[in-house]
Amino acid sequence: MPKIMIGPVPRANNVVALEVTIENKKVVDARCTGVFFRGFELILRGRDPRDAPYLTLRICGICSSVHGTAAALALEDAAGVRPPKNGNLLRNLIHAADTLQNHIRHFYLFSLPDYVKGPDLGPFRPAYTTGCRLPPKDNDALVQHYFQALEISRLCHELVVLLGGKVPHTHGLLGGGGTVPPAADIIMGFSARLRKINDFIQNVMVPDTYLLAEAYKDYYEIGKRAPALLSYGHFPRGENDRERHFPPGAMVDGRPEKLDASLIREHLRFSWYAGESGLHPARGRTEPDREKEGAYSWVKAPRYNGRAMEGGPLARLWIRGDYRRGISTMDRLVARTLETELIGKLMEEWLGELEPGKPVFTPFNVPREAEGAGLTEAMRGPLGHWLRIEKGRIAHYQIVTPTAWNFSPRDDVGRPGPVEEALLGTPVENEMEPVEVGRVVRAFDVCSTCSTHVIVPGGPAKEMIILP
Amino acid sequence: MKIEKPRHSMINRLLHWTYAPAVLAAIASGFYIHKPSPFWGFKSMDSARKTHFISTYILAFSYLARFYSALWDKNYRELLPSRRTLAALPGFVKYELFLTKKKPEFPKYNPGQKFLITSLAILLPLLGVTGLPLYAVDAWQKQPPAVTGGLNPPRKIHYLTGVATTALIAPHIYFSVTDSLAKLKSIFTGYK
Amino acid sequence: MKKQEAEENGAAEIRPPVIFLGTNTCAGDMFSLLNSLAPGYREMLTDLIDCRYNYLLMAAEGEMALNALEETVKQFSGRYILVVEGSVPTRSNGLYCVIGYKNGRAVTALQAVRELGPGARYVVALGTCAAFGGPYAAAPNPSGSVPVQAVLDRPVINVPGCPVHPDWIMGTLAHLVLYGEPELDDFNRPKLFYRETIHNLCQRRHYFDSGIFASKPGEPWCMYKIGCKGPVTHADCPNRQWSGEHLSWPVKANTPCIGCTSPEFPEGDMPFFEHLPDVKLPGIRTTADGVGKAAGIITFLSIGAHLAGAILTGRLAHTFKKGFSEKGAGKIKDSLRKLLRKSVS
Ligand code: HEM
Ligand code: SF4
Repeated sequence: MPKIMIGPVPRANNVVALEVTIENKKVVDARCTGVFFRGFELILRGRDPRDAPYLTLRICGICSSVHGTAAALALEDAAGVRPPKNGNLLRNLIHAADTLQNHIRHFYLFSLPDYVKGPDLGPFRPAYTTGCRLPPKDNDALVQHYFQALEISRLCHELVVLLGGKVPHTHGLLGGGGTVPPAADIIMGFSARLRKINDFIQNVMVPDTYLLAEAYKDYYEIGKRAPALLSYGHFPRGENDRERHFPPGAMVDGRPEKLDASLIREHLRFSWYAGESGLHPARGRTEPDREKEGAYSWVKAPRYNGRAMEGGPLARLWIRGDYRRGISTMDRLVARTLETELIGKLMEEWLGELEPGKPVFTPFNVPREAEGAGLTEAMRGPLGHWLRIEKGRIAHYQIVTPTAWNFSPRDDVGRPGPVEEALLGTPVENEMEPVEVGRVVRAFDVCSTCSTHVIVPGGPAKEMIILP
Repeated sequence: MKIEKPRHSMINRLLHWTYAPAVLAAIASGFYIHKPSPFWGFKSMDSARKTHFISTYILAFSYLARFYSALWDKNYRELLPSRRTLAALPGFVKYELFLTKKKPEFPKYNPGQKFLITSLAILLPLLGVTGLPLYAVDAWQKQPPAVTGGLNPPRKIHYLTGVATTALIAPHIYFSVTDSLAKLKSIFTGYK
Repeated sequence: MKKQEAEENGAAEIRPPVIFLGTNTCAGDMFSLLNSLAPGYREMLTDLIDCRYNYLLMAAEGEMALNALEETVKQFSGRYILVVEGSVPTRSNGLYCVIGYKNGRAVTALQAVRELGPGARYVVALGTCAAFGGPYAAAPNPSGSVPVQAVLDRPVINVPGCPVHPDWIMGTLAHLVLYGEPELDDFNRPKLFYRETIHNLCQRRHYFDSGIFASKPGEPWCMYKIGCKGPVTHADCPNRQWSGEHLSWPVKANTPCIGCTSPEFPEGDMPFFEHLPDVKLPGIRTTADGVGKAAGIITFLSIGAHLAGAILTGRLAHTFKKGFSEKGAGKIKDSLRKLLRKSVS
């Protein structure tokens, strides 16, 4: 039984690694490995809670504004404040613009090279020589669109710059709201760019996706798994966050359920962490231990009511009721594109709701003792930040990323994570060029930078924090 | 009238009255720079910074002159603590804590003054070393060399040193006014 | 090698081979590079460099990717440019960051940087993590991350920023290709981009000078009082502005600069919304203002207590009585007269 190790797996926003076992040209076992560790939660401890949004942005270069959003929500939850209407809209717009950027880059820059022959130019060379099915005409068109997508995704990032000053790691997202008061010039610059982007999505990206789906129809049968889906919901509809444009929810055994965040547990048996397994993120306490026996990933195994849940555009659209064709590699790609289209349209609406001259930021004092949670949706699935403040400083910070859900290793009872499960049965034509494996994995939009973290070791902080 | 050696030489008195207002101006302007507020007596950052820079130039030169003068007239022997100072410390502390009524006699300066003067002699150059990289942000990037990297560490140390300096100068002024009027007079006239 | 020369020799194809190696990074610098407007990413690939390895965007994966890396080193020894993005974790022998697997064995970032560094024509540390350690090296530095320079025994050109501005890295690469090594400052940053402080270039400098300050994010004045690190940060953001199209920058977005190009970022300049970084003594962490306030209160109370003691014990009254006694007062009058006479004559 040949085992093949694929690492690095680029085009996954930083590298991850996979170990797959192949029998009779089919994957019979798969292990996902997160290959690096940074320890953000450990670093956050003892710091000023207001710094959490700016610091956690730096977890991930492609979805940074989502971490900023989650941190801002957690801080607001703890401090008991809400942003003003404009602030909420600004944050939604930044979050959404970054999502468009991510989805466009994911489809063209990350996914396409698995299906299309690139130009004869580094870093498109070297590449696998097998598996590209598209006729030359379509192939060339997609390569041209690859480069067009570079321009359009830059425009998406410019939307973030307009409202946040810079990108990635934008400044306009804070606990309390946004910082750039909407004015005619900014709204105009934003809407003109957005129109170009939406044009591209509707006239290029959507047709391209269906072109690919047509040529690779068999991928509706590959990467399948039962619907076990999770979404925390994102884009609060009003500043009070009673409803979200994409609602929270879960699909368990094919049945829709209301989201109950208290059912989340983190398992550690196969992850390089010491300490107690199976705790809720708000309580979790573990330490990195790279030499741990039997473990194989820096990613922990979060479970919802004991189940490995999949998150991302497909899960969100499924829960929202917009897409229910099936759960497979191609469905994941198609849903991502459809979500891109949907969000682009929503942004046009939000832009119209901004009120020039009204406040964008609610000032607040950081409480001395408080707890808060910020749940939202990153591009690739559910993202949660849990925060505890003691003596006015961060005493405990816990982040459970979407890649932890999707790319999780086995849990304490040995159940595989979603990607591991989806890989089972994937046909592999040529063991030397296992292009099929990459297609299945990348459709999840895994992001190892997202996943590299740790629960803060337990016990009270050793430092005494004195604040005036 | 008996010819006696003045308690403070003319030059040292002149220097004292050069750096005393300069230090006060540096403190007020420095704290304005730290946390701008009309409380410190400035209207704008521009005026505070100019005051800070002019006063610290004056301070720097008068410090050097005073340093030289202390060496030249062997005045440093009176200023710096010695083993005898340490021996006299308990008695001095007892007196200042009102545990004894008898005022102990000291050659010229009491242990408290010696400690204060020595501290200032160290703190002021430290202010200069940490102030210069903030003043000439490009030329002095890596100064002070002991601190690894960037301007934030010298900025923090400059502030903390400024706080320490202020915390020493306040009791200096208090004791000058309340300990002995004759000695207070001598810093103006030279004689007790 | 000068590009012009190369073209004259009929070798237009001589774009220097470049390796983009990712270590402990969020990939933000690569995404920022993708935002470059002119040249864009495409022109960079076709006109400026010969990209041999890109940890994020390359088509190849697994051993095919690592082989491409090895081949470049062999074929272009002494001629390739190594661009490292991310800090280098050293804990557990570097196992906290693995860049891939070779014959089933993990290749750590530490190993990769050490192997690729010596043979490179230039080594560029892309982003603050690679240049100075950055966020992941902040205390308590759980992965033992260090900057690229710390594991290489050769000069490294630092192009910091969290993330880097696309022009800073594109401009540095262009300089290397066209004119060789750019002039560097004390921290090995190209002076081209990091010569001046943000503060000296800031549009809101006149508000600073006039003492008009924002008291919360979102206000259009100087951000000094809410922690702006512009005065202690070297970069040209105010002039250049972000990103591909130069539209805005943090202060224009009504937020403070957080000093992301500085060697001490973020450990040495947090909290971001405070003027000065935290003061950390063994076992104690407090704000600089906390120290200032404590010192102020202690000084005030001590002097107050002493004054009270001096009044209650009658010591103060004694001092003044003695000072203003006949003899004493006479002496003052005497000496004042003397002084007057002197200054007149
Ligand atoms: C009695 C002596 C001094 C005191 C009490 C003092 C105090 C201060 C304080 C409290 C600050 C504000 C620091 C902050 O929070 O950023 C400051 C800033 C500064 N000080 Fe001093 N300082 C003194 C002497 C000096 C000296 C000798 C220099 C030498 C050049 C200097 C140069 C500076 C500079 C350049 C700044 C920053 C101004 C700015 O950023 O615009 N200071 N000082
Ligand atoms: S906003 Fe920042 S950089 Fe600009 S003048 Fe004020 S302190 Fe300086």
